[in-house]
Order: sequence, then structure tokens, then C-alpha cells
Amino acid sequence: MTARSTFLLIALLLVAAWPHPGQAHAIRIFAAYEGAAIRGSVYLPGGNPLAGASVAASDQAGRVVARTATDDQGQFTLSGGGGILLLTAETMDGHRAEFTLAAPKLAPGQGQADAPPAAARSNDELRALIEKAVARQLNPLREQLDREAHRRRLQDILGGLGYIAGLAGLALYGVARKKTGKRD
Amino acid sequence: MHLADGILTGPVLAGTTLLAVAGVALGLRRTDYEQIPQTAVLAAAFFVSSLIHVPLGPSQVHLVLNGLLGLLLGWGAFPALLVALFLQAILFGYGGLTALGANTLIMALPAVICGFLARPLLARGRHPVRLFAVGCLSGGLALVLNSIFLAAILYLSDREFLGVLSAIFLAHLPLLLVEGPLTGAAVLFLHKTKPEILTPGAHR
Repeated sequence: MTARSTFLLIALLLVAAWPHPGQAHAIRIFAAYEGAAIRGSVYLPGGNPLAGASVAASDQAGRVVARTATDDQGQFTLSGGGGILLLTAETMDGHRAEFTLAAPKLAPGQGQADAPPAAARSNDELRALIEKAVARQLNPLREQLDREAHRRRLQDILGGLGYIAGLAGLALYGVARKKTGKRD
Repeated sequence: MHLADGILTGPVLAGTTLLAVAGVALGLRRTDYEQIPQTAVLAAAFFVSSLIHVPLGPSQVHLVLNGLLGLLLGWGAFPALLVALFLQAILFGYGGLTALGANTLIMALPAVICGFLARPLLARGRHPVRLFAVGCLSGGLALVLNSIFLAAILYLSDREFLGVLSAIFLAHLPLLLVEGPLTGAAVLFLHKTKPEILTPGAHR
């Protein structure tokens, strides 16, 4: 490759590695319990929200227990069914994302089975309130972690280009060997 | 274009994968030793192009470039796109691996079609205006065919056709304004710097 085209390629690389929002090549979904409800968002890898994506929650047997769609901010709310749920988001042009969500250990409304004394009942309520408050603090962090884990990195771009160059080299080597083989 | 896993039905996946394999085999057979470097460079350009966003009015578009690939590589666009899409799938998570055959078909078949239509036009003359126009047409037509094939494959997987097609098309309409002229400019640039790229088979 000439020096000019190499320079151009490096310039393109830098532009490409620059983080910015973009169209959907993939979509991502994140969800967490807030109290008894599941709140989540569907977004593009760059961070932009995705409105109008259909979201379905299915249980471990594969039955769909709830359906909804994201609003203008890409957010959605579902009523939690307890247990481990698989949330899937889909768009009309064939993109799909999944998120597995486990119900928190103690959800409000799930108290002792037998009639509790007054003190125990308020303990349950307290626990539920604490869970809700902690969830509210943790969920943005969880969401950020999830996005960080899926971030595009410069080394991924360079790795891909390296693989392409390597494949081309292998191909050239293979064809060249075949040529010399035939001549002998 | 980057269909995820779990979207397409089994028969559609099998059929598109078979067709993609056939296309790749044909492309590999038709690729000369001298064409391997430029195939690699174009595959790399496609790989990177989905990351480059061009601001257009209120939104942003990203380049697709499969029209240019078809124009320059012909059937060789199949293996080039397979490699680039595979790397995009495993490194960026764009598209599912089971849908790789379908995604390759959706991108490569329009490329080959545009190549078939545009290359004879190039052979007729090398006037700059003609070169730019042919490049524009190739880039634009490829985008249109991409949308049609994507909608068709989704339709075969029990989705509604016209709604999907119009949604995809509307989303890519601003891209037509960028991709067409860019392909035309690329063709002009190549004619100035390396004209032999535009006449494949001349070295045979």
C-alpha cells in the first residue's frame, strides 16, 4: 500500500475509534428490579435510546409472561413475575438483544407465610424499602457496567484489520506455493 | 444487514447460508492472485466503514460501501464481505454468527448485481462525469437492493414485508445522499491513481 493510502487508513481508524452514537448495527437491553416492577431500557451501542422496540419477558420454560414496548426515551416497565426471567428486545429490522434478570431475594409483598406479629411486619416493610432504595442507587451503576462491557475498543478495530491482513497474506502464500508447485 | 441470532427461522437460515457459501466459493475461484491485496483492502474498508459516522442534518449516517465493493471486485465481494461481517460479529457484536450466511447474502448479492450493471458502463468510456455517475448509481442502487433483500429475508421468516421495507428504506434515505456521491468520488480517485483496478481481467 502506498504511503498516502496508509495515512488515509490510519486517519479513518482514528475517526472510527472516536466514540459517537450511531445507527443500529446491534441493540442492547438492560433491566433491573425497582421494587416489584422491572424497569429497563433498550439502546444502541453508542448510548442512544431506542424507541418503539418490542420487549418480551419469558420465564424459564420459555413462556412469554409479559410484553411491552419502549417509550420515546427507550425506557420500559414490566411487572415482575419472580424467578429468573429472560427479557428480549426486538426491532422491525431484525435486531435482537437479551438480558437475564433474577428476581431479588425478598420482594415487597412476600412476607412470612403465617400471620406475623406487628414488629415482624414492619421489618418486612423496612426490608422492602431498603431494597428499593439500594436498587435505585445501584441500577444506574449496573447499567453503566453493562454498557462498558460492550464498548467498542480501538484494539478490536486494529485486531480486525490485522486478521484481514493475515488472511490476505495466507492467501497470497497459498496461491504462490501452488504456482511454483505447478511449474516443477 | 446485521441480523441478530434468533430472528430468522431455520429453513431461511439454511437456505441463505447455502447460497452464501456458493457465492463465496464462486468469488474465491474468480479472484486472481493480483486481486488478493485489493480484496483485502476493500474488506478492511467495509469493516471500518460501519464505524465511521457522517453527520447529516439532525442525525448521523454510516457508510455501507458494498456498491463500491461490487464495482471493484465483482463476485470477489462475497468472500470479502464474509470476512468483514464475521469480524464485525465477533469483535463488535454486530449481527449473530448463525445469521452470518444471511447477512453475507444480503450485502454481497446487491454488490454483485451492481458490479454486473456498472462495470460494462465503465468499460465504455472513462470520462470523469461518466465515472462519477456510474459510481453514484452503483452506490445508490446497492443501498436500495440491501433494503429489499433484508425485507425479503425477514418476510420469509414470517415478518411483514412492506412495513419493514418502508421503515428500513426511510432510515437509509439520507444515506443515499452520501453513499452515492462518495462511491462516485472513490471511482474518480481510483481512476486517477490506479486505473487498472477499474478494468479487472485486463491483466489476464
